[in-house]
Amino acid sequence: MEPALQINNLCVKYGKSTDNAVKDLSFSVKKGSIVGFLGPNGAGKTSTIKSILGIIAPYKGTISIFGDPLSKRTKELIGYMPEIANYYNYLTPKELLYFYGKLFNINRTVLRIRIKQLLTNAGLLSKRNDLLKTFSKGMLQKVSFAQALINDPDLLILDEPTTGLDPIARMQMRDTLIELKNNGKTILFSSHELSEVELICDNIIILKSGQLVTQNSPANLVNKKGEHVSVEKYFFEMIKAS
Amino acid sequence: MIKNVFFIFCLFAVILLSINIDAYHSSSLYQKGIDPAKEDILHKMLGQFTNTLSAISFTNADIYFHGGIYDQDHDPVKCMLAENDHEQNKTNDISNETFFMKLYDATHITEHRHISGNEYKELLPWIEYAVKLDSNNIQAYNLGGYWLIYRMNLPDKGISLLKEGIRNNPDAWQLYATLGLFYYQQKDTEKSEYYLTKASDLGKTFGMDKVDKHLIYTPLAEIYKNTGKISDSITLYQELEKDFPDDPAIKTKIEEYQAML
Amino acid sequence: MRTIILIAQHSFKELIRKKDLYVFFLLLVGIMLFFSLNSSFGVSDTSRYLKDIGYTLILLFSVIITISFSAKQIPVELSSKTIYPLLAKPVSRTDVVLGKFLSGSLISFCSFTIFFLCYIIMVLLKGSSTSIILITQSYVLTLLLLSLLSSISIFFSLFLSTGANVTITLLLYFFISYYNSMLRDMLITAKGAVYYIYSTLFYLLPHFDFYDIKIRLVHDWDPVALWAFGSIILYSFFYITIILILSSAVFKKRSL
Repeated sequence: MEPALQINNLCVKYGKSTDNAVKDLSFSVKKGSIVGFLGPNGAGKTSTIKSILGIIAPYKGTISIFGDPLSKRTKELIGYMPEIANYYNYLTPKELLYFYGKLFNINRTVLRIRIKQLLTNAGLLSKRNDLLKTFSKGMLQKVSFAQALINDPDLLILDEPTTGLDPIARMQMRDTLIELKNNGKTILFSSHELSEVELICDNIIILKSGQLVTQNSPANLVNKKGEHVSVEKYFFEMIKAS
Repeated sequence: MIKNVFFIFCLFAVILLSINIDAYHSSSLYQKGIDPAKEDILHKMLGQFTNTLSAISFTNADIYFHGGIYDQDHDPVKCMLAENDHEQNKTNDISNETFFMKLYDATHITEHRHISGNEYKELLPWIEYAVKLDSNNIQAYNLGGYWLIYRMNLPDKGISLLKEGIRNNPDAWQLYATLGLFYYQQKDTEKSEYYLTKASDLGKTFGMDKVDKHLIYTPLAEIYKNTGKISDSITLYQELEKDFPDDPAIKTKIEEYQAML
Repeated sequence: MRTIILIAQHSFKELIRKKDLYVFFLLLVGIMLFFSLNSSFGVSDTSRYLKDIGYTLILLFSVIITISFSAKQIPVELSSKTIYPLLAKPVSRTDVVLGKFLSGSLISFCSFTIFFLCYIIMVLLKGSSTSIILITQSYVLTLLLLSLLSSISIFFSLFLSTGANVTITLLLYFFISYYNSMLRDMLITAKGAVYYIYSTLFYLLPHFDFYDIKIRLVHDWDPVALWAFGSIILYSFFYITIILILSSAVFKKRSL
């Protein structure tokens, strides 16, 4: 079965800088799995995500989405939730979702139904006609997640999806991700909440200084002594060692 | 951006309001012997900038007279081209060479015209603004007075404007001259003599050139002749002869009036 | 095309909701009302000054709205990071540039049309009449001018801060509008290397003066010849296209 996401020898550089933000990175994400994308600040997670989305062009390497190279067609299969939930504050959530939905050329009737469903799931149906500038950080995060799902994507890329959410909302988010996975969606999400990653991820990818440190399932993580350790412990040990 | 626009709006509101307040305020100040121009809110706020706006308004009146075009006779390039010999200083005659230049010529109006008839009234707003913004704009008062009297056939308003100009500028010989000439045409000898004499006296001190002297002295001399002051008339013509020694009409007048003595 | 129109449409809501347009409109109505009620020396049916001042105001306000709106389209997307979820959709960088240009143009069209209608009504109420051809020409040419300004502003926004962009674009507009005739005269009389410098400037700089037919409108001159009118439309189309191609090329290379 082809992977949902395949990255080979990815190298990303910014401007005229000689340092690579991402160096020869290779990994794959199986279809229908939830993968945690971890690393300290400046590890290259966001650069990798931007390359997957085509926001920046890598100077080396290949990226394939469900076996096809990145194109406008493959972008239709991706849903992206950015780290910072900034949107057009003069729009309402309904208008924002409608705008993004129309970019995917979704039928108007289908789009209306989907918007209503997404806003209901996010608990924001009563606020659908309020301007986004009146929303709190947590509410904006929910809108951000809703817009990532507007095109019913097969591959979801979430950059710190639980930031700014209260504990109940975090739990709901985790449940939603598991439900999406059970419906056949593939999810790649980066997070600093290692305990959350351990709870729901089938696999984790750890980066440091633009390079892959490890790709493994949480159940198979062992320390130098061969003992099974939590994601958190493993993370700190690997980062220290590298 | 809204704050900036709001500020501009307030500024405009004050300016526009002050122009209307001025109309009611001026008369009471005159009665107290205070120059209303100096007490105006507009002048207090904008100071010398009102003079600039007045000059712009007066220029606009001139532009309107020429159908919206700055008088091309004063265009420096045209003057230079006219003066230069084509053989010695060949200019780049590219006006018709490129399509771009042809397009430029097609989109820009290059000939001026003078307004006439019903269009005369269009100058009035700019003249009004010119005198309201700068009470010392003698040219504007003079042109306004002339325009109202001779082009608009509103002599009362013209005279009122000229007198207002004299009140604000007591040394403005030009305004006395215009009034004097008007009364001369109306055959009001007394008023004509008064204003022309004032114009002559002030003009000697305040830079009257020989053409202006001719314009003032000739009717004044005729008034003196008609009121029996022949020698005064001759004196004026003799002064004019110094500036225009080759003018046969002046010589003829002198000889004629000397014969009457 | 659909994507470009969608990007333009949603920016349009910004104009409606930010209320800048209403402030300018009220200012315009207030000023024109004041001047239209004015009677100089008891003569109340003068109208050219109203046409002159009114047209200057509607043009000035529309230019300010166009430039200030277009100047912040892309920079605001970048600074607020809304560009990332946008580019994550099936949207290319060229779509973004063209969409932002179209939104700037749409906004300028909308605001100028409202101002222009108000202007025409005020002028007609004053009893003035103007040729329909001139009115149509001035409307179309101003829309083209605003589109050109929008494209230039979008281009500059890729290099300059919003404040610098607005200042420079406005200065460029006023400088070229008022001094291009001087450049033409200097070109006619120049020789040697100086001639080539002036030539380059004359042909390269955007000819904002082509679009200003206020004198014709106010003083009832003849309309612009049909061939010249068509040529200006073509000139606008090509100049805007070149600017947008350059903008797209620059934006594609820009690291986000």
